[in-house]
Amino acid sequence: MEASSHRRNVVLVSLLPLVAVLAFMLALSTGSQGFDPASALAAITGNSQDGLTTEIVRSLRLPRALAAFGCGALLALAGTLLQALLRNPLADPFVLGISSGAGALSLVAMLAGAGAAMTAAAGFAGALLSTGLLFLLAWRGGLLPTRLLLAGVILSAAWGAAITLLLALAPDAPLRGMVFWLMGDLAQTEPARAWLLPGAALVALAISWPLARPLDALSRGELSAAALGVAVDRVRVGALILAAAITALVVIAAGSIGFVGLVTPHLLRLAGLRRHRWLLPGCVFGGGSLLLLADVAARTLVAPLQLPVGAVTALLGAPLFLWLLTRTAASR
Amino acid sequence: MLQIDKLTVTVGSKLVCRDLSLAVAANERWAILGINGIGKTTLLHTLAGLRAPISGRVLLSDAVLTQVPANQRALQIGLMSQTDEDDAESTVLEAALLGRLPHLKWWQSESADDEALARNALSDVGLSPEFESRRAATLSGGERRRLALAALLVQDAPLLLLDEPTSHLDLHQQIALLDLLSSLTQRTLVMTLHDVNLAARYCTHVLMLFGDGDACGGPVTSMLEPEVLSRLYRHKVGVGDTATGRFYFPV
Repeated sequence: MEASSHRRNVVLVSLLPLVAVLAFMLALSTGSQGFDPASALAAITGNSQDGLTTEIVRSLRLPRALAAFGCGALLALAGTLLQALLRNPLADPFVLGISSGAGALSLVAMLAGAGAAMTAAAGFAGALLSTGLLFLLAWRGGLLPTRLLLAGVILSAAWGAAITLLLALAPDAPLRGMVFWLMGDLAQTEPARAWLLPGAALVALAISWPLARPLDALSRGELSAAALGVAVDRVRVGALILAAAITALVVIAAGSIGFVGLVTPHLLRLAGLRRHRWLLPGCVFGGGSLLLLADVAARTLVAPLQLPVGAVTALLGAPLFLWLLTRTAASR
Repeated sequence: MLQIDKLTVTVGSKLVCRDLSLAVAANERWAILGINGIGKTTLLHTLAGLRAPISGRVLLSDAVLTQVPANQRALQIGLMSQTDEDDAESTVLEAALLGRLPHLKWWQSESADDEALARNALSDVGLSPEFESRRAATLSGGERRRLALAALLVQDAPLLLLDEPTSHLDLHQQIALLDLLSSLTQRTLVMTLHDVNLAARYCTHVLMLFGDGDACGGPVTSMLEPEVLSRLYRHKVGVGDTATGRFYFPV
């Protein structure tokens, strides 16, 4: 890497955790009950004299902030992996129908009156089933990106129809909760499990980082990558399974949250993080911060009402993506 | 360097070569010649270990090529493919540096030496330092070919396979590229070429694909005869002699 570009990447990747800390401070101190950042920090570190502040920050806002950060980080990672895998800048975790599969089977479990654990298990089963179908439809002696994308679009449409059918058949009482969950909702995060999502994001980063250079090579084409010694099918299958697992995890935790996985890699690339060894860690902090800020907006825009965060990401994401598109075109 | 042993290669239902045996010795420069669609690229990919033959085998320094691990193979064989797909994101320097992939473990970054190697390779192919920070996707067809060659040089493999390296290049750049390839020491070259005059000028050996599995190879001096070329190109080829050497032309 040329020296100035290397320095810029180091600075950017080092700055992103700082952005994440600021986003966390904003998330912890903003809400129906506003605190100054120092009070929120004191509540987190256990130095606050105010029991109510400590309770709100530690039991309500921190778990939700952790879940938002974790989901955002995971979605951005999945988006980056899929964009490289499919060699398509429009790919995101929802394009292959994996999330819709997880959503549909979770809905079936909810309708059957299953508990949280069974619903989560059904979600994973849906994601696995969808990924299996995807392989079945797309594998022809290898995993071809175009076939994979087309199969994903068809699966997504089929699962979407199934979800509509399930919602139409659902009784009125749980319908609102289901619709909120499908739209992407972080309100249900249990405090005890909130650390799991950022933890999963770090694990996913550790697994995906060794794929960084092979993914760079794949962006120059399958043949060039193979000639450089990349085991093309192994990398593709590995990246797809990882992206599918990540997507399933997010859908089970928070439903369908769109645009974060699509927009974050583009934003970071525009900032200069083009190679995956920089882009992947950048996604963890960039995507995490983005969803954290979107969740602050979801909690405060029409307070005391809370919006599903998926609606906010879609509302902000669509114009942001269009703006990115014009910037990307201009920078070439 | 490369031993081809009773190799049979097909593309679709078409036979490219049948029971072909020949040896490519170190530092030789081979051209694969034949009409469009005869299977030159398919054969080159087979020699690169990226495609399994129907029968026979390719030995790379006495090891069966299809059994050599991909990374080890990439340290020994570099391939410049016919078309370079767009990488919308990379800069020219980043694209050239990708050639170091087989040399680096996944946790390693490119060293200052790797960068120097990439810069030298870019300079060798005539892509001046101003090109380094340009997006590879903004290059012209000819510039992309030169970038692909730079990445191949950065890969630093002793055996270089090049699929139509002169396509998209103007006359001067064709000569500059082939002069550069000829000047490489300790490199064995196998390239597909359309221009028999370039093959005569720059290669030591030719491998001719006549179609229907008929193929043969040997030194340029004995192989490039008008009757053989007329059969190869299915068009009468004439030969002329000038002060600078022989040239071939379609009659």
